[in-house]
Amino acid sequence: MIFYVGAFILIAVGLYAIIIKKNLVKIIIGLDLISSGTNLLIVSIGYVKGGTAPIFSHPGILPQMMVDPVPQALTLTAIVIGASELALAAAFVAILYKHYGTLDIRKVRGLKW
Amino acid sequence: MNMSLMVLLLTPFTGGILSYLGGKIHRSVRYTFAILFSSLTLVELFFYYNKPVNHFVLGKMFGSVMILQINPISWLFAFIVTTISLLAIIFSVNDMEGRGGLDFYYFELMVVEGAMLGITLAGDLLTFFLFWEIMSWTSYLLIIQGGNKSIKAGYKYIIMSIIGANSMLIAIAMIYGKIHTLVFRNVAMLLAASPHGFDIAIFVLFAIGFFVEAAVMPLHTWVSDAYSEAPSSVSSVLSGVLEKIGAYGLFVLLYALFGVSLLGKLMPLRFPSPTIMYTIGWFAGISIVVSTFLAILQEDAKKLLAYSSISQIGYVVLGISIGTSLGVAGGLFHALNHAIFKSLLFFTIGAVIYRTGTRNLSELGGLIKKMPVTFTGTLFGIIALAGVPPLNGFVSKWMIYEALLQKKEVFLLILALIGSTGSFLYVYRLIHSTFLGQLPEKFKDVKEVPFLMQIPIWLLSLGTIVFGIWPGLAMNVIARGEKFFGITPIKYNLYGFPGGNGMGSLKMINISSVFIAGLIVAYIIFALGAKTHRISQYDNYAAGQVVTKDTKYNYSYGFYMFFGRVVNPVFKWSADKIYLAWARSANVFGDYMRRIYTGNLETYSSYIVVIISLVGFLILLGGKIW
Amino acid sequence: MVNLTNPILLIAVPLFFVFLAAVIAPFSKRATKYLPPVAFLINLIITLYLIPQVAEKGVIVATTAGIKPPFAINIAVDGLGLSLAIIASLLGLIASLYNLKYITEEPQDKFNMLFLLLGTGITWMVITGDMFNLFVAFEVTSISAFGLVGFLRDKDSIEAGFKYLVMGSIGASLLLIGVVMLYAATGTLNMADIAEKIARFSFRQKLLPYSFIFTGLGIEGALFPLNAWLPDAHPAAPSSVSSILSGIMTTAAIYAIIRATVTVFNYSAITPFILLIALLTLVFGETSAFFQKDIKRMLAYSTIGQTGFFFFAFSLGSVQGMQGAFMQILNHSLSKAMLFLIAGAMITQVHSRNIDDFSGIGKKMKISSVFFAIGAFSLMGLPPFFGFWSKLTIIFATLAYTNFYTITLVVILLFMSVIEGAYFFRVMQSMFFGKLKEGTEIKEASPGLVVPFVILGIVILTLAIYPTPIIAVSKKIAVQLIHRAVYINAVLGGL
Repeated sequence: MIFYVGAFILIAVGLYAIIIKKNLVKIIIGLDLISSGTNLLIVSIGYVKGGTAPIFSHPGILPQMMVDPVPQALTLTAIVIGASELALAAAFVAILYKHYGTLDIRKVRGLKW
Repeated sequence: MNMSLMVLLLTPFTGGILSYLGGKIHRSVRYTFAILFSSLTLVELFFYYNKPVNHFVLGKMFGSVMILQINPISWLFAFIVTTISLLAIIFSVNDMEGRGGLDFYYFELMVVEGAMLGITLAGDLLTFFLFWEIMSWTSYLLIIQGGNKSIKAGYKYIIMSIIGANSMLIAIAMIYGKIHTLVFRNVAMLLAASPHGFDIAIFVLFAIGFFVEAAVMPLHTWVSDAYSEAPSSVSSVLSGVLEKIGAYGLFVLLYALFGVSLLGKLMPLRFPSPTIMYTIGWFAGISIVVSTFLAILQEDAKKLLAYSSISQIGYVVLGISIGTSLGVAGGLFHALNHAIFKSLLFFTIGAVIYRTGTRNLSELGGLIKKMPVTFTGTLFGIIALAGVPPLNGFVSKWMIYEALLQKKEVFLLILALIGSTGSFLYVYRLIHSTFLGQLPEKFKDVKEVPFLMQIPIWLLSLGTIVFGIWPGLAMNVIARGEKFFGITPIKYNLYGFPGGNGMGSLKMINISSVFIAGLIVAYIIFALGAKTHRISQYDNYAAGQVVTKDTKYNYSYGFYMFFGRVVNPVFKWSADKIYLAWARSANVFGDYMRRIYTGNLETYSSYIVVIISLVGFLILLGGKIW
Repeated sequence: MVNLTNPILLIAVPLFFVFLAAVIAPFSKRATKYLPPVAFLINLIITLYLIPQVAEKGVIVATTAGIKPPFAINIAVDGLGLSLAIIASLLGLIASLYNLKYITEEPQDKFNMLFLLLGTGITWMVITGDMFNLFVAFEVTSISAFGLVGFLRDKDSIEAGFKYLVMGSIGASLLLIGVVMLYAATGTLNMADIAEKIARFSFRQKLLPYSFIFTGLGIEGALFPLNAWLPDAHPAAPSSVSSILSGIMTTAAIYAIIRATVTVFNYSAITPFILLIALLTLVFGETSAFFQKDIKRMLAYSTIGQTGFFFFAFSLGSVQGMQGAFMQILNHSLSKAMLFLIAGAMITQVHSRNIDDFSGIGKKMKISSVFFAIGAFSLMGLPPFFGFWSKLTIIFATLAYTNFYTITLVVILLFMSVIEGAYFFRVMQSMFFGKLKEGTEIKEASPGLVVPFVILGIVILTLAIYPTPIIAVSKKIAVQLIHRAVYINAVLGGL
């Protein structure tokens, strides 16, 4: 349960950062928080307290003690995707800084309506 | 399988494509194809003169058959469409010479012709609507051929036209939702069996669409700009045919879909005719009077004709809405007559514009000697328009008055008579300022228009005489059409109406003979009377002053100023201004609305949060949305 | 012997070409630009090969790792998915042909790789049968789209790209959360399997995962008010990319929503909510488009409006509504893609995106302007173009029952179509009849740009002449979509 709460708090903090913070880097950190929260959520779904790896060939493990492997596989994929997204975001921020000479998002408002 | 109606329908479209492609080779090829194929359409149409086709399946769409049919009334309107289009094509050969994009222009002209033909031939609402939409946007493309100002006019037209078409579409979809077929006959059965509220809604929605196209007030506001800014031959198609298509739609709505007995049942009968039809009659009556007054005040020849078109279509609609056999016949006959004389007038004014380059009445004058054919055409046109015997306008107006009298609709009769009297004022103005009076110096070298442009003028002048003296020619078709729609036709013969049943008799041949005799007597008196001799127009004096080249001895600007002073305060309130005000406030509102896209990332992200929290709220409510 | 009819090839082939591009790039950057057309052409051929099979069996299922569903990842192609895949491949082919001449900025190899990935992702999204796979496809699509939007690296495109990226990442996370919730509830990721198992949950329990999935996909699918990135991002990208983004990418996301709503959740109770959102999308999109001065921005807003329009048709929930939605999707994809390509070609000549600068170019760029008119007419739903029939179907579907509520809806729809007509006619009349600015030298764009959109225009004209077969097919597709058991049984039938 604590994991779920933690995951949602992480996501909420991330959203807060994106909405309130004016610094581009902080916004990226917010994005990262959201994806971390999501990953935590995924892992905690498959988590069994005191469980171990699901290895069927190993005789000593009871099926109800096995941790669900699928969420972990999902998390790995999600982490990879999240990383590439963040890298792209960082690249965008770098070029934005080149164009505007500032990291303040309030200055980056060329397009509207 | 009998492909004939399909062939008839496809002829103008094929002609359009061929003339477009032919124009790439040489312009004469383009003209040949255009004239050939539009004449061919007319010829093909005459095969159906006495041969109604009820059911020609075009295809099947959404489980509803699309059919073509031809009955005498559609034949009448198809005849108007093809004739006027053919003449417009002939007229524009010289008129449009030297402008760019002519291949496309002829293509459009023929597609419009085909689309309007399709409307008259449609046997179900889907086909009707399909061709209706094609007609709207192609005629828009024609209107905007007239230069810079016409773009604005065309824009107004297309917006109003889309609104009208969409209003029809709602009605069609409502019908489709009930019976999943759109054939006229089935629709009529549905309407007869439906609750009255549904019927009235359908009626109003259709009427909006037809009113826009037929230019009945208060949905006429596109007309004055579009007619006057479009090229002359297009104006004559617009006024002569497009308006009639609106009237045809109204006729189909009233008599094919609803029928008088059903309309009578829809609302309790308190007036001489069913309330709905009576209301339409009043719209028409107000159209007649108001636009006649507006026409009187115009300085622009084509604007004058445009307003006059609104008023004349008022007579058509008025006639149709009376509901008696005589009234319907009068309305339909007037549709034909108006197509003839209004196209004639647009052609002659187009000829004047072609030679002088202006359509401002106060700049023109004295062209009678220079352009005698055009003058004769205009003379016939205005006599017919004003409803003076022996030309055709008189007969149909007489029928409408007679029908109004029979129904004892005094107020509508008064409106119609005011309109008729008013039309004397503006047509006199038209011919006086253009052809009579002093010839301005700059138009000294004006010549008569080329022969090809004279053809439509001659033919239509002939038409005004033929249908004036032998109204029975048109009545043949109209009477068969009335019988087709279950109305007992009135008695008629080739020269007029024998009378009876509380109806006066009319013998056009007698009236015409009297007129011709009168003319001969007048000529004899003129010839035998005091000797006249020709003098130069400057060898003259006016109000004690010698006339010089730079002053005008007849005034032609603000001709009816005294009248304008009376009616102008009323016309400060126009429907156009109201629409513009609506459009403006909608504009402002929309401008505020789009500001939701602020351009700020934080706002955008917060929208996501808003949506998610809305869902959370829903869950708290127990997941019940409604 | 390669089995040409395996739908997995639809993903494998372009992915192979991406890696091929990565291999070729060090030797010749120029050569990479010939890869996308080849890849999309192969894809198009495969999809066309699949048509008879789908027509016969309804749904074709391809498995990976030799394991039958619901285990392992599987691909399930039904009529709707296949049609979207065909559109995606066709548009990809056209746009990549256009790119040959259009893209002159470096780095070209990266652009082509991203472009291929974008096409792959879209195709992947519409044929996958697995929820997590959908997420992956979604991410492949979005990340390549982020990159392509920011490709020009000027002020506008970077700003737009950044906004898009932030919104898109949030959307992806939300989608993932939704998918994971589904997994937690049902213990499976296969769409058909979820669909079967989710039946035991109440409306309220389904609402939470659904709302996350809906919001996540809605960001990409341009639903109000989550679509605010779109009017910035679509115009900022190179025109060929805009045409893909507007033409098929938002549609693919809408497809995913439709798939989730109908097949997975069987969520008819949610439709009033969707309907409201669709209506708002339509109204805000069309209204904003009316005020635009920038032609690409106008087209982008019009995309929002159109999305609202066909999503509205979908949310009616009836067979005819779905049919109308599919027809409008087809019409919108082809027309809007063509309009963007033409706008791009015109911009290369005019060197401006302001509509006022386009006045009078109809006389100089005849082919482009005429095809622009064709696309606009089709989009507006004027006969004889295909848009007329789709508009008619949607209106008929809305008014299947006449009451105050449906009539209000139709009035709103038609009012928006009037607004749409208003701004398209305004652009066209300034194009054809406006005054050409003096001192500008404008001529027809080079054939390399013209030929691709002319091909697309010919497709649209063909549809205008022979609408009946497509209307019949779209009805079949709609029926297939509504009868979700067909899909579920086809996928799980192997058990």
